[in-house]
Amino acid sequence: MPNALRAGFLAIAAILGLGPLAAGAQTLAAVKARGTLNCGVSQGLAGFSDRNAQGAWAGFDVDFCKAVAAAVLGDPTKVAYVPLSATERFEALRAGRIDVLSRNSTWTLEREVALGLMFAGITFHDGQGFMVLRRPNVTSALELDGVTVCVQAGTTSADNVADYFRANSMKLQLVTLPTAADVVQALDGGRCDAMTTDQSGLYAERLKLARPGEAVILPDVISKEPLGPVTRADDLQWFNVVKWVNFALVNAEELGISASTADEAMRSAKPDVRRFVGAEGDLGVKLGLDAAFAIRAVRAVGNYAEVYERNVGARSRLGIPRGLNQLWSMGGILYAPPMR
Amino acid sequence: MSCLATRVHRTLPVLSMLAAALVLAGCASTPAPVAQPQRPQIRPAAYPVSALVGSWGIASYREDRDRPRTETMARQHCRTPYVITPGPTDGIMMHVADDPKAYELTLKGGADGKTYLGFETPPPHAQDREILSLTENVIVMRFIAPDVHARYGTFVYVRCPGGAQAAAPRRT
Amino acid sequence: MNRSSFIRRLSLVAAAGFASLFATSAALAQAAPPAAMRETMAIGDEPGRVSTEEVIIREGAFARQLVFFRSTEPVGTLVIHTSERFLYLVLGNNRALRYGIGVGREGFTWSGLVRVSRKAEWPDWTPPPEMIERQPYLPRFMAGGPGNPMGSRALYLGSTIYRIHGTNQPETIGHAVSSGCFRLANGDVIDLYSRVQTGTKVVIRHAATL
Repeated sequence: MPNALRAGFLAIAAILGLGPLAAGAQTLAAVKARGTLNCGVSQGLAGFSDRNAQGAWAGFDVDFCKAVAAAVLGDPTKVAYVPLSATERFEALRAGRIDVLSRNSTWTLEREVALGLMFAGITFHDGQGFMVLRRPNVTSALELDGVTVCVQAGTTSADNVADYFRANSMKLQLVTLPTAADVVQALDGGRCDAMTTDQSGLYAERLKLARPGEAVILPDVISKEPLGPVTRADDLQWFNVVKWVNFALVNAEELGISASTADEAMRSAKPDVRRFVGAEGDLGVKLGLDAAFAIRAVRAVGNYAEVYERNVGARSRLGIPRGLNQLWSMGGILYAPPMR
Repeated sequence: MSCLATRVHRTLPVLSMLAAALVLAGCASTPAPVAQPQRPQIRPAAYPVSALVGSWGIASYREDRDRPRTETMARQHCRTPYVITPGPTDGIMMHVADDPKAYELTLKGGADGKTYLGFETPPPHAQDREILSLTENVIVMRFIAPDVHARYGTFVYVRCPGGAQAAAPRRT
Repeated sequence: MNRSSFIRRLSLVAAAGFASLFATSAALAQAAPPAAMRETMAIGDEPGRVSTEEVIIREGAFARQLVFFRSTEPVGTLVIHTSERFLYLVLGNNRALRYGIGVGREGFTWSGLVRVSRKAEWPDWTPPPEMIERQPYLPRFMAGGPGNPMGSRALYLGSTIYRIHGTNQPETIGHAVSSGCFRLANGDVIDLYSRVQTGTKVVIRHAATL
C-alpha cells in the first residue's frame, strides 16, 4: 500500500475509533503473569506430539506450543504440556486448563459453534489417502477399480472410500477390520492390495510393513482433515496472537527467513522482511506483544518448512511429502495472509 | 564415505614420506656402522626419468574405444598443462593420487619387467603408477591401486607444444 | 539400505571432521556461500569414491515417489526446488514424480526457466579450472564411464554449464554439496533420463533471498 494511502487509512481508522478490541477474557495477560504457556497436546502421536528418549515433548504440534511461548514469553521452554485424550481435549480448553490446544484436531463447523471454540488456522492439511502394495502400475486412486481395500471399521474413512469409488464408477472390494493394526497386517499379508486412512496415518503405518520401500502412497487426497490449533471463542486478542504466530511461521518460509538466516534477516533492506523482524512498523505491538515476536518464534523452532521437515517431513522417520502443506506458490495450498 | 576416505588416502603418502624420512634420518645420524643398511632393490627403468620432464596435456579414459578422443582432448587441454619438473635429487616432481602436494618420484623397473612411477620404494608399491607406454610425445599410465584406477581411469599425457618450459597453470 | 544409511552417517561425521581439519585450506577459503548453502557438505572433489553400481534410492524421503503437486506447468516439465533438495517431474492432475537431489555450488547460482538442450549417457567430465587449481593431479578431461563424477547420465540445460547429472556418491543426495550442479543417484538419473526428452522445460527455484 502506498504510504499516502496508508496514512489516510490510519486516519480513518482513528476517527472510527478502531483500536485493539478489548478481550472478553484476558488469556494473554494471564499467560504473561503466569510466565508459562499451558499447551494441550496428544498423549503420544509420533511426529506430532510425543515424548522423546529423554522424556521431553517433541513434534510438529509441540513446536507450535514452543513458537507461541517464544513469541509471547520470549522463551520456548516456558511451556507446560498437558497431554489430553480425544474426548477430554475440548473440555480442557473450555474449562481454562489450557491456553491453547495444539493436538491434531480437525477443524469442523460443529466444534467451533457448538463448543464455543475457534480454530486459529490450519497447520497441517491432512486427508484420506491410499497406500498400495503389489500394484506397481497404479499411480492414481482412479486406477484402483476392483482392487481389494482394507479399512478400519467404524471410521469415517470407511464411508468416504465407498463414496469415492461410487463417484468414480469403480468397483470396490472393501475388507473392514477392527483395529488399525489389523489393517496394516492385512495389507502386508496380501489380504488386500490397498489400505486407506488419513495420509499422515499412512506414512506412520508404512513403517510397520516388512518392506516399506515397496509400498506406494498415492498422492490423491479424497477428504478434508484440516488440523490446527484451537482457542476459546471469547478471547479475540489471544485468538489473534495464536493465529498470527502460525501465519508468521508460514510467511517466514515464503520470505526466506529461517532459524539459520534470522541474523541476516535482521539486516535485510526488504520492507516485508523488515516488518517481519520488527525493524519497521509495530505489528507485534498491535497484537499485544512486541516488535520481535515473529522472529523470536522462528529462532525458537524455525520457519514452517523447518518445523515440518524436522518432525514429519524429509528429515524425519515419517518422511511425509509436503504435498498440500507446501506453500501455495510451490505446489501446495498453504497460504498465509501478509504481515502488514 | 568420501570425506573419510579422502582423509585416509591423504594420510598415506604423508605417512610413507614420514617413514622414509625417519629411515633416512636414521642413516644420516648413525656414524657409519659396520654394515650399511641394505638399500631396497630397485632395478633400473627402461626409460630415463628425464623423459617425463615437460608440460603435458592430461586426460583419462576407461574404455579403449575412448582412447583416441581422450588423446585429442589431452592435447586440447594444454591450456591447463600439467608441468613436470626435475626434482632436487634424481627424480621428477609429480603428484600421487588425491594429494595436492607434489613429491619427488622416480621411474623404477619391476621384477615383472614393467616400468613403475612412484616413490623410491621397490615396485609395485600401493601408490605407484604403471607406465603402459612411453614415447617422446605421448605417455600412457595408470595407478596400480585398483580403487584409485577405478576412479581415475587410464591417463594419457600428451606433450604440449614448446612443452619443455614450465608454464604456470592459469585460470581460464 | 543399511549400507547406504551407514554411509550417510559416516559421511556426515566425516564431513564435519574434514571441515574442521581443513578449515583454512584453499578448498574452503572461498567467498561466503549463499544462505541456502550454509550447511554445505564438503565432499571430496575427486572422482567418485564409492561404488559405481547404479544405485537407486529406495527408502526414505529422497526415494523417487509420487507426490501431490499443484502446478500450472505442462505435463513433463521439470521443477527443481533447491532448498528442498527435490526435483519434480510434473505428471498433471496435481501429481508429480519426485526425486531426491543433491545441490552443488553451481546449482545455487541461477534460477528461472531453461530447456534441456542435450542428453548424454555416461557423460564426459571436464573439471572446472578452480578444481584443477586445488587438485592439480586431476585429468583435465575424463571420458565418461563408471567412476566419472558426472555419473551415468546428464541432462544439459540451455547453453549454460547447468546440468542435471548422476553421482557416484549417493550419500550426498539431500544435501548441499561443494561441487557439481543437480545430482541424482545414478540409478535414479537413468530413470529420469528415460522420461525426459530434449526440449523439456526446466524451472529452477531457490528459497527467497533476504
